[in-house]
Amino acid sequence: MTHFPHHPRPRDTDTFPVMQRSGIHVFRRIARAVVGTFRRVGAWSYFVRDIGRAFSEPATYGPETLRQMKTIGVDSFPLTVIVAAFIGSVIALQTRYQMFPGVQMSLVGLATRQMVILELGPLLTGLVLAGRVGARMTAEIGTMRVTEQIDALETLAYDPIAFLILPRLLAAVMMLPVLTVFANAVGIGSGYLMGVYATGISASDFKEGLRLGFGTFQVVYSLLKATMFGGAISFFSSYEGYIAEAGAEGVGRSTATAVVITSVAILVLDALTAFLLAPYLQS
Amino acid sequence: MKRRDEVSVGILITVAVVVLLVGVLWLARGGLTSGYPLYTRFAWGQNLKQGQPVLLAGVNIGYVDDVELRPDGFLNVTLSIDKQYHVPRTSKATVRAVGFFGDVAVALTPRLGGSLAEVFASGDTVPAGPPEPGVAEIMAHADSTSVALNKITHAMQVEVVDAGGLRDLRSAIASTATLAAEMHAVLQAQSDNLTATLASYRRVADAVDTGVVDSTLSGLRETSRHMSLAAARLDTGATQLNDILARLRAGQGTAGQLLTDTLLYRNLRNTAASLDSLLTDIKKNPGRYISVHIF
Repeated sequence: MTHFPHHPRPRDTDTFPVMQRSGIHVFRRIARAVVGTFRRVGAWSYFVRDIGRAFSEPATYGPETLRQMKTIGVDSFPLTVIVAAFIGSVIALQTRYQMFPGVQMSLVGLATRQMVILELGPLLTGLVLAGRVGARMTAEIGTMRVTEQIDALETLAYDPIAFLILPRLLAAVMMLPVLTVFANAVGIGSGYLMGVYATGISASDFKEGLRLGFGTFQVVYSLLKATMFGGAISFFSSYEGYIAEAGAEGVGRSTATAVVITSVAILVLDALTAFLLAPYLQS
Repeated sequence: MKRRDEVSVGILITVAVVVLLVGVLWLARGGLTSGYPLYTRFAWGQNLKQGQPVLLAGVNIGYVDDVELRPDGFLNVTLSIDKQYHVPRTSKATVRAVGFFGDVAVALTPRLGGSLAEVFASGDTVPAGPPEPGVAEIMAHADSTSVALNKITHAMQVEVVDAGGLRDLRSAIASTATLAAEMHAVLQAQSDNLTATLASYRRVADAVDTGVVDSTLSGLRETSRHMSLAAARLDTGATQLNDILARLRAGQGTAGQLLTDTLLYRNLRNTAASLDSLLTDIKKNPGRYISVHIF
């Protein structure tokens, strides 16, 4: 390091008094966090660029995409349906018992439909798949990274992004809306069964509430959110696996980080979508 | 990739598309088969929205399919009616509140006693009836009623309680009770007197000789008969007198002539005057008129 006579060499942190040393450490951590965030955003941007480039190799990602669609969609179907069934029935049950005398019972159907379609259908499907599918993606890709299988792919002139990342991304983006359709239908259906057969609401009241103020955009809104959640799950999970550090510990840490980042990203996207599009949901 | 995986993915996506289409159609149109449309028009501010029920005489027969806001202060409302129901032509459409929280339905109400045979055809417009009072109007009315009741209560508090009206009422009731007791005593005394009077009357009535009464009544009847005859005769005499007087007025007969002929009156006066002058002259010159010849 060049020493300039007009700029004296900075003192070591350990030579400062304890209070000043603590303050320096705090600011240093903040600076590292900020720099680390920007670094991560920058790395994501490069990853997006690489994914964009990978679209030029359909022969590589095409067959694998179908296999991932089966893994993400078909294999997740039972879990999605079970979660949606419980959520729909609980919404109907809770709403019914918050109704005081004089309130129309059709509101139970309305509340069930709105909560399932607009919010809980896509959101819970996304969160459940973030745990089930996202963690699996990170672990798979991370293991391939630490066992140098990705390096081997590059050696064989295979684009690892096109072979590993893009199929998962496409499959998740396509299958999350499909699973959300089932989640919405099963959630509303279970809410209907719970409302009509367990709490004594008349079927006509529930149906009337289901149809009240319905607009097709509500379904589009639900599927749009599901698509974004699918993209977020596959993107962040794949990225964390792709940059996993060596060793089982590195894969485990990447998996945990992926699940946390994906869950937060889903909630942020949910809020952002509601902020931007909720005004258009008014019928 | 296994063929089985492709089939399972294909089935999942196909079923999802079917569920999506059927679900959206069912929620948006109330079923896979759409009903027939009817139209109506309401003023702004009805809180109408797509999906609200349409009631015919209280029965749900369809739903509000579309609400179009017009700049002239009206809403064009499209109703989707189930094909199994027919709306009588005498029906009027009104927006009816169906809950406490602004929930409304479109009510189609046929006119009482009107024909039910003629029905609206698809695409017809149902005339809007007079708006029914909503919850806000009812609450406002209840509020004004409550205010009036409060005023009445306050006035009663002032007049009845604070100003001693209740005390006065109690004393008035006590006075009335006393008065009633006194009236009761008076009536009791009067009743006793009346009983004694009736007893005396019975005794007097028992003492009357009925034979004397009968003969007296017979005499009274005879007298009455005679008086009737006398009256008849008087009536005949009056009629004849009237006849005579009429003839006199008409100048009939000597007496009539005397009464009505003015010339005769003048002649008689002239005669009297001549007789008077004759007598005067006789008194002056008796010898002119009287010559006594003894032999």
